[in-house]
Amino acid sequence: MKADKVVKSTCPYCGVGCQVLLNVKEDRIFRVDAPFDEAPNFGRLCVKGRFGTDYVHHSGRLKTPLIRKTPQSPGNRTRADSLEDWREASWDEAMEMVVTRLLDLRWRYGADSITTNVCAKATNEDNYLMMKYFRSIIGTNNVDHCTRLCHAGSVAALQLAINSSAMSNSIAEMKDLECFIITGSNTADNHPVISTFLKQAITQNGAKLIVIDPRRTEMCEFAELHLQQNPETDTALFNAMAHVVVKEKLYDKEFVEERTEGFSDYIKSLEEKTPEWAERITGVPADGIRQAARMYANAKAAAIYWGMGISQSVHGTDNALTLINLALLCGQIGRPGTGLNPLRGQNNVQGCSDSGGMPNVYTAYQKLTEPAIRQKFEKAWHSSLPTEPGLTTTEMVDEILTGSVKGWYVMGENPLMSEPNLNHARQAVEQLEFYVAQDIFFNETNVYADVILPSAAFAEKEGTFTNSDRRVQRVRQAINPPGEARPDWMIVREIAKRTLNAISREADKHPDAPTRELDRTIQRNAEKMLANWDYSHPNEIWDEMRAVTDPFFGITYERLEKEGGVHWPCPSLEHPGSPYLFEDDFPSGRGKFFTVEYTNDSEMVDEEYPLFLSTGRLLYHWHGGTMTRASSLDQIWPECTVEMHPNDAAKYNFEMGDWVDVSSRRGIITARLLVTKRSPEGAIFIPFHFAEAAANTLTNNLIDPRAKIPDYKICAVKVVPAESVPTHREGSHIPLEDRGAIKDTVPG
Amino acid sequence: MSSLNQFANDIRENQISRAALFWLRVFVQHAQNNVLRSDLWIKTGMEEGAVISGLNAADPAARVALLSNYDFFKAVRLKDQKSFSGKELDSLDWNRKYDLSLLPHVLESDDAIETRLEALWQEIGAVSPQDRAFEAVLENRASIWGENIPGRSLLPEILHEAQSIYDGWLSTPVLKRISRALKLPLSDIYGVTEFFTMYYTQPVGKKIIRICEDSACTMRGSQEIQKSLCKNLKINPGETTEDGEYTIEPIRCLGLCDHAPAALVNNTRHFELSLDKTDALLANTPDHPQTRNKIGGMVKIALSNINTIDPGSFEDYQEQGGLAALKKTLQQLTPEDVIESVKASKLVGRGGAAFPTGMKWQFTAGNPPGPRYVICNADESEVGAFKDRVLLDGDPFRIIEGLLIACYAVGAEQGFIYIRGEHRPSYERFVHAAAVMKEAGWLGTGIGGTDFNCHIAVRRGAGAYICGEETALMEALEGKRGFPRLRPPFPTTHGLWGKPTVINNVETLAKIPSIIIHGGAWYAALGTAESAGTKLFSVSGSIQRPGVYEVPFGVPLRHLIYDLAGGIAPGRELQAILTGGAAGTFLKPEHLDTPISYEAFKPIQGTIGAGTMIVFDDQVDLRHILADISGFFAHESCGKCYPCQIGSQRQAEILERIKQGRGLAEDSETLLELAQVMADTSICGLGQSAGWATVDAIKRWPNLLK
Amino acid sequence: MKNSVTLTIDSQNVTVPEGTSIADAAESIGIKIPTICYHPSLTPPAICRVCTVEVEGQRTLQPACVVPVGEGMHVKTDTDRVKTARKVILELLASTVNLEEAPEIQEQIDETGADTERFEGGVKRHFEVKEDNPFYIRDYAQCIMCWRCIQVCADDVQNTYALTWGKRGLESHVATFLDEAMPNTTCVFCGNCVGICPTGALKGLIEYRSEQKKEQE
Repeated sequence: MKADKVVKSTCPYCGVGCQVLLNVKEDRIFRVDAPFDEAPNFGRLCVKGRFGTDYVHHSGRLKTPLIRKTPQSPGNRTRADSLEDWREASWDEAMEMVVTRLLDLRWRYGADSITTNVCAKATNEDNYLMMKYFRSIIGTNNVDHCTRLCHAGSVAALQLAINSSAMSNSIAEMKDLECFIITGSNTADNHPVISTFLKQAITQNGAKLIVIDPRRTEMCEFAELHLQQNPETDTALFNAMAHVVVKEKLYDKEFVEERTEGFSDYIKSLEEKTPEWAERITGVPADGIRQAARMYANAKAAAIYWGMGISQSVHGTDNALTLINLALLCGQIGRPGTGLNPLRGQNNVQGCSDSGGMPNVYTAYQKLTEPAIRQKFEKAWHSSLPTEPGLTTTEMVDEILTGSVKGWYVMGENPLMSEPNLNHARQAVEQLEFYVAQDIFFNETNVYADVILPSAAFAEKEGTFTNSDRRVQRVRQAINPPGEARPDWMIVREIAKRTLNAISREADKHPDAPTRELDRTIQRNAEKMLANWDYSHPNEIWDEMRAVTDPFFGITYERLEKEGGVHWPCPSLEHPGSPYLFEDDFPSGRGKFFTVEYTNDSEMVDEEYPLFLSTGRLLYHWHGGTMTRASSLDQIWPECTVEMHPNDAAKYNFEMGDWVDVSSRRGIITARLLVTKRSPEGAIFIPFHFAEAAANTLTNNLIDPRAKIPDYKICAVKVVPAESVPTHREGSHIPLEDRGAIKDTVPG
Repeated sequence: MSSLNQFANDIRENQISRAALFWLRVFVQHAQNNVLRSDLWIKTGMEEGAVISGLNAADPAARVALLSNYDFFKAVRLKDQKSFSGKELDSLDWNRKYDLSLLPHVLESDDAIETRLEALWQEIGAVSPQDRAFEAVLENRASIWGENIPGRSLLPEILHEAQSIYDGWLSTPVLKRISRALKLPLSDIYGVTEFFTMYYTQPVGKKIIRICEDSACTMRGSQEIQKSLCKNLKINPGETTEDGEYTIEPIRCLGLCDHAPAALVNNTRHFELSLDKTDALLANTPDHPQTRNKIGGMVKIALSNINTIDPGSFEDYQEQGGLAALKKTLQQLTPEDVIESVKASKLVGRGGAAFPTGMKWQFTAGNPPGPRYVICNADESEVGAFKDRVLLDGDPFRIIEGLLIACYAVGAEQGFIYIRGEHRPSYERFVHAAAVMKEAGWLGTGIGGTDFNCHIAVRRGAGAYICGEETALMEALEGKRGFPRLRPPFPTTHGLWGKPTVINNVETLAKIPSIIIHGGAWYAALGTAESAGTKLFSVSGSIQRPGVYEVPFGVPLRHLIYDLAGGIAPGRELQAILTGGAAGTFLKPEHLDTPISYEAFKPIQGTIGAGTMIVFDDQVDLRHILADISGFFAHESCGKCYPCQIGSQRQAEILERIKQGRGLAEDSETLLELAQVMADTSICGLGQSAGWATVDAIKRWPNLLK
Repeated sequence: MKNSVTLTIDSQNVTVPEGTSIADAAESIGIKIPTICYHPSLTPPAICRVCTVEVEGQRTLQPACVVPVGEGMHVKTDTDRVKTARKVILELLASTVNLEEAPEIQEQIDETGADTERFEGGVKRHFEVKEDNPFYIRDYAQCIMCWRCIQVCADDVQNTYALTWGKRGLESHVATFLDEAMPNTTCVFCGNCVGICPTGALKGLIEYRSEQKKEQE
């Protein structure tokens, strides 16, 4: 079929940021290709990028603003799943309602009674505007997003140790690897295109891979060594590797001397952490630990790639710190093919954080507590800005329950799928006074909202995404949004302008409001602020953003058009961008070693709940499933599956395809059993994509004290035959074995 | 003790998995006072089962079947002491713990149950005899096929062994087992089974009857025999009888043209078939030895031992002067000396390409230090070619000696012999010969008491003519489909596993020992100025004494055809001789007095090639021969490059049409152009030469195809 | 730095870095050599042979996509011998598969004046359309056996190994293990094979269905 037009854009799924060619005919995308000569994917895509973007044409897309028919009140908030419960509204009415209700809360309870979730799937420009709106107009730093739920542990650790929190290498460098560690990452399923480059580094260039993971993921088939540690014993393992490196004098003395600090305390702390000690804790043979340490330390260029298995833990920060220690110790950072690489989950989780979508920083991690920085933004935005960091995503839930947060503006995210201990989170949502959601579909969370604003999907708008290796890339409009849906940046722009007008107009009626100071500033600067908000294209938003953000300054839309993408930091128009970081120094100057002690704070198995549960993603689905379950992808994996080792299955006399009830102390779900050696004995795995069997019903809301990230990867559960079998879903009659469920290239 | 007998019978008849016996045995061994707690039973079984290869203890089915199908057990739930027995045991909730115990009637017998069970275990075991045999093959693969050889290269051999263990074909579980053992994707394995005609992924008859369909055999009535067999068995060629006894499989040239018409039943050769002797075929009881050599010639070098020694006897071989060359090499010559001697002999490759052997060795020896290999190409399967087979069957030690000398000359510590799959007796000869030589210290480490180390691995082909092409052969040796490689780079620098490799024909290597003993000059003096030494010719077709003849270059063609091979049958006239095989040229009666040599054949555009001569008398329709030959190429094209993949097929179709009298005016033109394009653009010699015979025929008989 | 090599292509002098293929060297002076199987992202299998050219001193034509330039080499890309080779190969291909959805090959047919009916009447590659998964179809009647899909599925990109070759010769075709349906193989549906297929043999299901719908209308 011949396309009317072919539009180059960036894939809306994972953090690899693949470049896609959207082939459009009659305003519909009928084929997705990839350009062969462009980074980062060089013609490659995975199933989601190539076949899974048809959700944009799904009949369930939201097409007009919707307002709840029955007014909601705190404590009595209900789900409204059916269109019957909603009435279509004009944009005018819906936006007016949003502004009025938000301002009402703000004037009554203060700006901090309102919080927002910005969105790791929206563009940099969308997110920048939203956080700017909340900080400069609403007047609160309560801005956060799901990075809290994925790489907060890594980010916190990297900030502590080297004061930078992005992947230090580019995807194109993978060919230079000589040895690499993948830990806590199911790369082949979650970053499929990156995994193809990693696999080739092995099969074509002879790189050696060490997988350190309790699960036997696909990458293990390519690994020289697989260390299968007990759940949540990572720090013991990595400390023991460091112990070996120190004892056998394999560390990089020059690097340690010139570029790090805290070495002597650190090696003292390693003294007792022998491989034999670690073997008792981790279950990994001491020899395996020695071998891994030698391979990593002796390689000319070695890198570490990690994912949620490291960070989504009550020890998330500690886990990441032990990895950073190891890299600093061996000097495996700052050269091509070395480095520390947290693989980012969402397409723009990097960019959303870069754009200031976090409670303690502005763009590019500029700390809002530093007066000079704050003043720079006040000047740019013509407003006065709050000085204290705001609430994190996980804290928001708790603060709603204490009553200090009343209003919630959620752009795109679906916390009632992604938060841990969903029953707890749901209780919180029910307590809200006002809840506005901005989305492309109904989801498990926004069905509790008062107003839903229909927004445009990735193929329907302009902007930029920043991928996992810090490459800023363009998103381009290929088709029109359905009905009256609009791009997020346009919606936020309108809401902001309306809010500004309303404050100028009505602030005087609220002389005692906690926001009086800010109201006056806004009244004073209203004209300038309105003019400042008068964006006609995302290009202008980006230009404003780079003007206040040195590391982005050299990146312009013109350059992106010409070069395809640019890696930040890129401080000037002449600067080529930075594919790998830290060649000469770290943003913190020297890298700091941190002493980490092994502790065990997670929920442990016992008589009643004898199995560990780990959660994560599948190749064929995406996060809360909002997009993928509205796409062709749902046909290949239409229902939730519980992965269990054959020995456990035999022990409990389960067979492939059995319906089982999985319960923890927090809830119960019913799903189908998938018997596979992917999961180790004694631990099961459940993907969290399926609303009808939401894995996070079971997970624990314990959080890491520093990163505030929940303990998603471990909790105690039991599995019993299901009491009743859920209703039939399309495709569920096909035996699991025949759905392409198990994809080992060599049968196991 | 009837219920246990019933159980034993059920296992013997595959009514219940053998794993059930395993679980029962675990129970009996670990029960205390005949009681064992369920979780302990499972845990112990899992641990013990994991180390029994071929047993899938993790599958709960066998255990559950054991419990619920036989009235052996009773289960008491710990929680509430509820008791279960018989069919109820089917529905146990395994999250609960139970005390399992054997029922009294199982124990009430003269013999202790342990004793009876051990007897059963000894008799049957947990793994079927086939699985056990195959597991042993997998486990011992390094000692069977050689240490330090990349795993994948064992695939073809393992497939052969699996077929011989599992009723002649490869089932999905077997392929999956191989996939796991070799860490090879299933698709890769399947691709290999698809390429080689001798692997079957569907059930086949217990006896596969392959009757040769090529010229020498069809001229003596092989097709009538096949038709008659098919009629009697009520199947078409390529099919299997309903009772699963027979599969009839047409095959192109078995390389038994000296015994035409010939057939292969499984691995057994049947010679000089006739319509009244088909019972021998069906029973697979030939009344002749598997190797019966028809040879002749004046100066026997390669043939010197054929029919005079027992090819299985290393002693015989040594009594006839065998090993003298190797001893001389190891004791007196440097590798350079050997190469110089071979160069001085002016020996050229006898596989058809006639590349100077000494040069090839020198190129390979000249590579920087590192692993390198020598391969003996014993994949002879050209139409009408069988001279290598005679050497393989009749004098294996000589070939190995030649191969060892080649390895010594180029510095290789590993040699390979790749033997055509259909030549199973030859393969067995070599396996035996290699074992005997190793035993005697003439293979392996410290050969003949020197510091020369060399291992020889014997490998089987599996029904692909293309693997006679040297790079395709290397691919096949590496365990892949036999696709020829692009050249350059050449094998002398990038051969097997990318390492420098010499690949020599059987006859070439068979000449080496004599050259070493008598010197290069001696050998060179035997032939003509430009064609040194002797050459073996496979003479077949319309001839009185088909066989292999060794002649010094320079003798007239007539001498070979008439004096040695006995000439044409009385009352017939010589029409043509196809020399050089399927990609050869047609010589006419007027060429009979031409001396056989490269230089004398050039002006008459004759090909020496591998020394194949198929003789046609005046009764033969050459158009049929051309159609046959082109059909052979179409069947044997690997399908890699377009010109050969499609061109060889189209050529065969046109010639088939002409044979059936439906030729078109432009056919000759088309065939000439097609042949030219195939010669110009095909990757390997097969495609390049597939049209040569046709082009030659058109040149010699311009009206033949009109 | 690589050494440079000077050669002539159709009598023009050209200097390129050592290791450059003849095709790339020709392209650098504006001579376009046709290719079918070649793709810059993959290991060239050099099997279609339409890129073959005459190299002085070589017995056979040489595939320009893989043969590296040599010092003093004389290459001719448009002799009668070369033109005949291209034409006949295209004629052979057209006699075997449906080339309707291979616009680049159609162009080459037009340029060479290949007679697509010259070898009519022989065995064609005949396969039913395989629609066995939710993402793409396989119409092997349009498959030209360029190997690209097998290569991307294996070592060249995906390391997934769902695809292989069935049979050989003209009967050779792209196959899965025992010709199983795609969901039963190791396929992860990345569709990299679909993206690189030069004909209509591999196609996304959405595109396929909408074409069928258009046809019905």
